Amino acid sequence: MKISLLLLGFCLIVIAAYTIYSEQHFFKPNESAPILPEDTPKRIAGHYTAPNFSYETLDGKKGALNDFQGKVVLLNFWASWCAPCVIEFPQMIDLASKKPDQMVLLFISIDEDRTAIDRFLKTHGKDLPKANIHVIHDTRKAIAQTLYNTFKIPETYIIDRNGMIVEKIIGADIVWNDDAMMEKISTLYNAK
Amino acid sequence: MIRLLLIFLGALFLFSAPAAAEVIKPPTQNIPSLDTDVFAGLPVLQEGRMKPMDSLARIALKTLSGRGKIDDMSARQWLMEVLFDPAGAITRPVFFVEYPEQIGLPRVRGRLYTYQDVTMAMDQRQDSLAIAMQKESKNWTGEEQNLIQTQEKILIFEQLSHSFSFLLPLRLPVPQTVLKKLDLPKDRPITLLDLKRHQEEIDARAKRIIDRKGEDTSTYTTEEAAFVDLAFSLSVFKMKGEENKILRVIPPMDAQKDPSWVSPWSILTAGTGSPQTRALTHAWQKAAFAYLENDSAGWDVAMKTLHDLYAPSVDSTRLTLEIGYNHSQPYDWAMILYGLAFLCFCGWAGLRNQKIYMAGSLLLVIGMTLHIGAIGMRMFLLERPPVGTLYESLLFVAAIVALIGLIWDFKATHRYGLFTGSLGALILLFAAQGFTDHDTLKMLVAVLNTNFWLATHVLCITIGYAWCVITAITAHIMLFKSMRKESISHLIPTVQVFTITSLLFVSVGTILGGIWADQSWGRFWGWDPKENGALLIALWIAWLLHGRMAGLVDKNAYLAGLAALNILVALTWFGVNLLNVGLHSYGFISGVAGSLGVFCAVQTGIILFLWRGAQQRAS
Repeated sequence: MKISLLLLGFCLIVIAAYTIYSEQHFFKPNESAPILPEDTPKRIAGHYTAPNFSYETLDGKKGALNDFQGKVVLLNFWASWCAPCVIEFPQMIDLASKKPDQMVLLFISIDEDRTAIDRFLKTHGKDLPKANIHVIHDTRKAIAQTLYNTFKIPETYIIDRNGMIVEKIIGADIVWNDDAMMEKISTLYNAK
Repeated sequence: MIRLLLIFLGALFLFSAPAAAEVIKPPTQNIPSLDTDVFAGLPVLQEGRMKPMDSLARIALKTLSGRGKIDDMSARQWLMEVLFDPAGAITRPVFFVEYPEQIGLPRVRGRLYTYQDVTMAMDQRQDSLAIAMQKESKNWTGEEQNLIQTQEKILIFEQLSHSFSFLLPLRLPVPQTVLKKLDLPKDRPITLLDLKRHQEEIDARAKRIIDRKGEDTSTYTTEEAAFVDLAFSLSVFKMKGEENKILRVIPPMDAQKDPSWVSPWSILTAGTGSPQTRALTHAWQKAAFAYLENDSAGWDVAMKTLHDLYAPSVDSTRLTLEIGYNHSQPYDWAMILYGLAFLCFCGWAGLRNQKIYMAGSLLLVIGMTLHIGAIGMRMFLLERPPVGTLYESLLFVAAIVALIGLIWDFKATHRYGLFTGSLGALILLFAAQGFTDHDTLKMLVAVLNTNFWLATHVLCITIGYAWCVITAITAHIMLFKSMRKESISHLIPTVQVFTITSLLFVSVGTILGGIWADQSWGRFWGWDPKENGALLIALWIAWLLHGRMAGLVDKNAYLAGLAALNILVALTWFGVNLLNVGLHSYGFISGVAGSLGVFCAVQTGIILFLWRGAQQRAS
């Protein structure tokens, strides 16, 4: 009986050792450099950095996302043929108008035709231009699809003052200029 | 005694040997020589659980082909081919069709067919399939069942093969003029993702062409035909992509908001894309291109990237353990060890060599350790007690039988513990082999997904089954010894303890089941077949005990009744699941009626033979 118990204990030790060894040594990839694309978001405390990009607005002004560190950024992807965009567009303009010092709104259109954008803005962007609202034509969809993997619109990223993506909202199911969103922008702006 | 045992063993191993291997000629496609280990450890959400790609590969290949390997390819290699080289995968015979004549396929060795073969055959049977799908499953004919199963396999294959289709090179000829017009890459194959950026323009041009020239493609120029083809391909891909949900390898952006992992196609169709998914799809695309070029360096880099990208989102320990569990096949090894332990008992019985007996005990210990360790690992992976499915209950009961046998072997001076433990566990693990097809380490149905009751009622009942099996085997031994006019007085107290313990566990388990049923289904007892079966076992034991105590049942009849517990447990455990009625019908199985019938018939024959023999000796 003693021998059997000893053997039982030995078997348990062997199985435990095998488990630990396999967990540490098996299925480890080679130590080669990863092939992440540029501006792959970094993960910090559960959130990801928003990839930076350069742009030129419709009226020719150049800038970059990182220029707005210190403010909350709403990054909205839209198109003139997108029906929900018609609803949310004026709401977002109203929101940005009420928070000129706290937030910046970047409207990134994926329209292929510039004239469609102009037509849309004529109808739905009457309050533009504003200092903290920039309309950008992403002709090659380099920002929308390649960088942000946006294929369904509208999509909006809420980016905090440190350049971290806080939330992504798909569709236009929320009211952008209601008290809850105003409060959210203020909270994000006031957070360190 | 030795002669009988050897005959029994011969029969056992004859039926346990795999069916004669049917040689399948491997096709001539080259299998890329890429390392599969990291790929195997990448996470995928399937059946409500995070699992390694290795498990998905095994389950999918087993589902389609009934095999663990195909054409000298491991399951992982096969899955890699399906995901990254679907054009090659559709020509590999991987669909097992049990009755090929029923769907118009010629019978070939192995009954394995390619995707092209089965889809062409099923195309001719769409009407029959539609009729079958309108019926309830219990009303299907054999042919309809075959059609439905084949169709399900086709859907699984299609889903897998389309998982990364938008990242793979499109096999469409695109004229250079079109490439220039759309500003598509010229230095590498074009993917659907490249075309997506120009979807508006492609659709608009195709619409203009069709409006101007109609739908007769013979009137189109090469460039016009290319645009229309592109537009059509995009719409077909989009349609298939919207249904594509099987390969959930994209983690959520905000796990606290929504922890669901999604398929790659959902990035295009459901708005689940983000900068993080871009990094993932980039890496998957690199992996796909490296696979197609058989570029092992590129492949390793891609796998390393994917490993690093997934690291924050998954518990790699659990995934690694599951791969180890998949590969170690612990239950097969345990079964072999139990078989060897049983052989050692036979050797000891014939030669009376103590060392052979010790070896048998040690083999039983090792087998049981492996067995229980594997069950423990299973519990860790699934985070629940190990008795959620029929297969798991077989594994668990076998482990308990081996454990009881071992303890009995330690405590008693006779040697029946080794015999009982090894034989009982061997038979149960052998029976479990018939259910491995259904073992996908799946999550439980809702009614079972309450850990407290799963841990109490189901564990209690299955421990009761284990005691019943031990009791029955012991009763067989006692009848055999009675038949040979050997003394069994030293075994009577033991069998009494076994009987009463069986009654305790089965009765308490049945009552706990009633309490669980009351909470889940609103009634304590509903004369469900499963409930009736559990009650039957309890009443049978109670009747035997009371009959013996009252002197109404003689010793041999009592032992025969205890031996018949094997039949009762089999009928309760498996038989009622064939009925597919009642609230326990989530456990419905089919196809075991024949085996169950044979088992019951053989057991009845053995018991009657032993009982008659014992009676004759007694008289």
